[in-house]
Amino acid sequence: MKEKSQPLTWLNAILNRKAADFYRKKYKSEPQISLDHFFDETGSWKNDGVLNDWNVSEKETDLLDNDDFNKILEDCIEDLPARWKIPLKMYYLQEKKAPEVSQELQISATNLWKVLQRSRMQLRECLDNNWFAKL
Amino acid sequence: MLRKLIHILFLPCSKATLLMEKRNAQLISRKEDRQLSMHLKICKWCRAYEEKLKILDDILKRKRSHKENIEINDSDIQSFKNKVLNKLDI
Repeated sequence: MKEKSQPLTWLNAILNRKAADFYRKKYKSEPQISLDHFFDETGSWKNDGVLNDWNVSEKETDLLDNDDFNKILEDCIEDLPARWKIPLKMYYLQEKKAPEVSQELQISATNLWKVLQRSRMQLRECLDNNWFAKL
Repeated sequence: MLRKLIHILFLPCSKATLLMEKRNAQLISRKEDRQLSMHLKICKWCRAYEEKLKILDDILKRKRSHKENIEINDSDIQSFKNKVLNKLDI
């Protein structure tokens, strides 16, 4: 090693470790799932958006044949953070039972409920805003 | 106001929506199930949300079968192509 490059390599090594630590911490800690966006401090709904009528009963069957709706639904799912998206996809698209999902992902059952709850809250809102409100 | 008080005393909506997930997976305890039913009787917001969850659930479940259909078709086509290729070789 040349004498000149030493301080830089040294600093690089520190930076590398810092970055690795940052991500390790991020992935190891249990995800904090905040519902502040939907509920106030007493745990009641913050807004009435949930009351919008979806009016799907008779159209429900052909929603999935509608390309626009499919696109929006997929976008809404893709917009979820990876840690929520993966359990949701395993649960639905791969038809895994809840205990299997939490075992495979190494998360507690309680946390899985929270993840599912949170991601469906968001999915509901996303569809409300991007699809049903525009009908 | 009364409604709000009942929510805090019995079960806040934030908790009720969590129990809905458990009920959906049929892993809810009897006590929780009763709590949730009680809550749904008095809370129109959560009733509306539950309605939507059912729709969402249904859509997501059927989306899977939609996808599977397409996948099966693709593999069918592939195996068909392979068969034709095999026969051409002979």
